[in-house]
Amino acid sequence: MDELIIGGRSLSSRFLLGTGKFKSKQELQEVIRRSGTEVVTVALRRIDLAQNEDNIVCYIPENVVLLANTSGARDAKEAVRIARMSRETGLGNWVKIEIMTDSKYLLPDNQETIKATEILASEGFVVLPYISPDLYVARALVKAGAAAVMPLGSLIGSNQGLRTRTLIEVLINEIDEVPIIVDAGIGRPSHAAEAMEIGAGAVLVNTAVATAEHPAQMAEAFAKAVIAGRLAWNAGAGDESSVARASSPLTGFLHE
Amino acid sequence: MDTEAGTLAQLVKAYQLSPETIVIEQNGNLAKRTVWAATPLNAGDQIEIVAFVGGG
Repeated sequence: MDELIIGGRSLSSRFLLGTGKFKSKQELQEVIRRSGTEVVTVALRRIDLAQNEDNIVCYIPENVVLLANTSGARDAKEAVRIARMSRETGLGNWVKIEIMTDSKYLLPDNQETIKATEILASEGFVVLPYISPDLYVARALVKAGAAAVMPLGSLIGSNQGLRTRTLIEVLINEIDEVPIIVDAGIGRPSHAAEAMEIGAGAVLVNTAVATAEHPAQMAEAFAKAVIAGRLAWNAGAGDESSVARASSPLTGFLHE
Repeated sequence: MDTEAGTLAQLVKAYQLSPETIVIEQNGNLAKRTVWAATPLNAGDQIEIVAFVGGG
């Protein structure tokens, strides 16, 4: 079995799904089903007392891990507070650290992310930090106790694909202790397949699925792309060549 | 908010919230679900009630 291990938990799907921006909770439920995902991200927000609606967790199957993000956190202290509140729901101890102050590019603050990872890992959280890909930061996160490292492929919600591919490949090659999960910017199934082909442990996708014309179909397309990419990685791709290499035998031609 | 509730548990009930999906902070401190019934609500308390929503 080719399983993904995060925080001691074995997962058979390498497709993590974000739950933002869906048109309805019913739609999300169908998307989760067709995606085959076993980990979904959620955010923590102040509830609207005037609008008493069903909570999102009622639409997420019990066998799916909730990965609470720290969106809204501007520094390590705020991220830690959000993570502790999330754990208090009693719905798990997985946290995606997401710390940012820039609202135009939504780039993560790597330094604050390391600080938050140290604190939360020591408190027993399963910590998945979202970072700008950087080898030294990734090493510091592993040392701090991160359960995975999640570099961005391109800007959040941009659908631009693996613009940081070279840097992600460095992480994949150099970090053996935990999975590298490509988060953010994956806009099409081919991008997800590419990430898996270069050896990513998993991908996390939200916008590309949620904003598709038919999200449930797109979820299935991503699920298949992730499987295809992973199979290709395991299969070991041949090398590239700048000149042609014949596939058919070069002997026994009919004109000979 | 104005409320007649005297404890956190009564507050949750008054607003018909499902206890298993929410988290309460009282004056900046996490109030564990197990102590809601015994935790008095005082005038001027800063109450934060949060729950999970969709997010990436």
